[in-house]
Amino acid sequence: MATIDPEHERRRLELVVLEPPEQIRRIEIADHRDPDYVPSEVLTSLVRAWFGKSTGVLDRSVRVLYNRLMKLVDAYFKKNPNWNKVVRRSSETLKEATAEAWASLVTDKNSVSFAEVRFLPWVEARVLDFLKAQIRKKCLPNRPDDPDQDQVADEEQDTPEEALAREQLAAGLVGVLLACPPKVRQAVYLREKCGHQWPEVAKLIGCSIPTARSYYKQGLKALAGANV
Amino acid sequence: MNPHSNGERAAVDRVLAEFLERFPTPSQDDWKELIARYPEHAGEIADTALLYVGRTQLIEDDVMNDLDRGAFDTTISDAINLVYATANDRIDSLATKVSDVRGPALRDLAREVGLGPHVALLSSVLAGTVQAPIRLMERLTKVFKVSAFELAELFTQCFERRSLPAFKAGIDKPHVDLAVTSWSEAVRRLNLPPEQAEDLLKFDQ
Repeated sequence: MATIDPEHERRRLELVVLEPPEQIRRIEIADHRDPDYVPSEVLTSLVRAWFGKSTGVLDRSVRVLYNRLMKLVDAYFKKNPNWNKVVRRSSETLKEATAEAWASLVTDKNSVSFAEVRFLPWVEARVLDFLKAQIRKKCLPNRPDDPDQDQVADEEQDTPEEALAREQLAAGLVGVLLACPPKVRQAVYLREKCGHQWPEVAKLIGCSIPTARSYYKQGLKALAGANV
Repeated sequence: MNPHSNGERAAVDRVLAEFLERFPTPSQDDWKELIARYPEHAGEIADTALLYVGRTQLIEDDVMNDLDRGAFDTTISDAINLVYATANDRIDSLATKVSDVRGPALRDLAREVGLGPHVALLSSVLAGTVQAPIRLMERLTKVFKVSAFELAELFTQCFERRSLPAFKAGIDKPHVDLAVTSWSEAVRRLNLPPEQAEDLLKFDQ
């Protein structure tokens, strides 16, 4: 069960006993270094409680919180260019991702939302949800290029090609992998990042060992083709 | 490996949300452990982990970036409408809880929040006719286990929806308070001995 930061609890109480014009003044402070700045966690609690519906405080709070959310979603996309392989960065994508995060905040039925506890990680989690949904849309579970028929001899040692992939992955080829079919990127991840042996990789993906290796090699091909 | 149904997807999302709440910046070992615990969700976990690789986190300064004004202007109405269109039953259930505090329960609550014998004062606060001071608000939020915003909103709604007395011809001029009475004014009207009044006024500091 998430618990509210005591400092945020204090800020809630402080804000609630003020007159509406002063509440609105504080809510509209944009500079987070200002001592009267209302943290987004507090603003989230305010919106979820429908506080100040009759005084106009709620409307202002919604505008300010939505404004902050959109800026943060935008910033998160810009800071992580790897994700350009998953979504095209555009105004439409920004609108869609922000709207999904907003709906999640407003319709959350938990007594305490994680957004009221730590807003930035909550925004990050919502953007990741959005990206995963985009990945699901792009890559259906069973793609026609299923390599189950390609029976490849099982080997335990990494080939030079595989060793090269290790370096490439470390150099930030995640974006290329994200654009690959699910089993391909998962095979590379489980083998490279988790260091699983082939039998384990195969079991986790739900296929034979040769097939897992084949998926993995497809991933390598994609990485090599990216010419990074 | 890949969740097909909404139920499976919700289960994976819950697992991931709980994990990321516990480990906001998970290490590779944390991911590996999660996969070992939930092998049936290995694919989804791997995808999330991949999105996390080399990720740059948000910082508070990001909230001061430029806004995509066009995107904001075209979606803000929907955002506001969604807030009002989403049923908020939290205030309703709180209203039921508060209205259940009557008679002996009200006297107990007055003692619990430090108002002692001043039950009428507490009753006026709960009815929204007297402004709750900060210390009292703090204690009431703990008793009712809600946020100060919810409690304050409930008091406002109670004040706005209060029933007005029917006035009949009499000696006094009819009077209806149009605004909530301040705590200090409510205490003053009790005509208490100075020490007792001072104790009550401390609730506002």
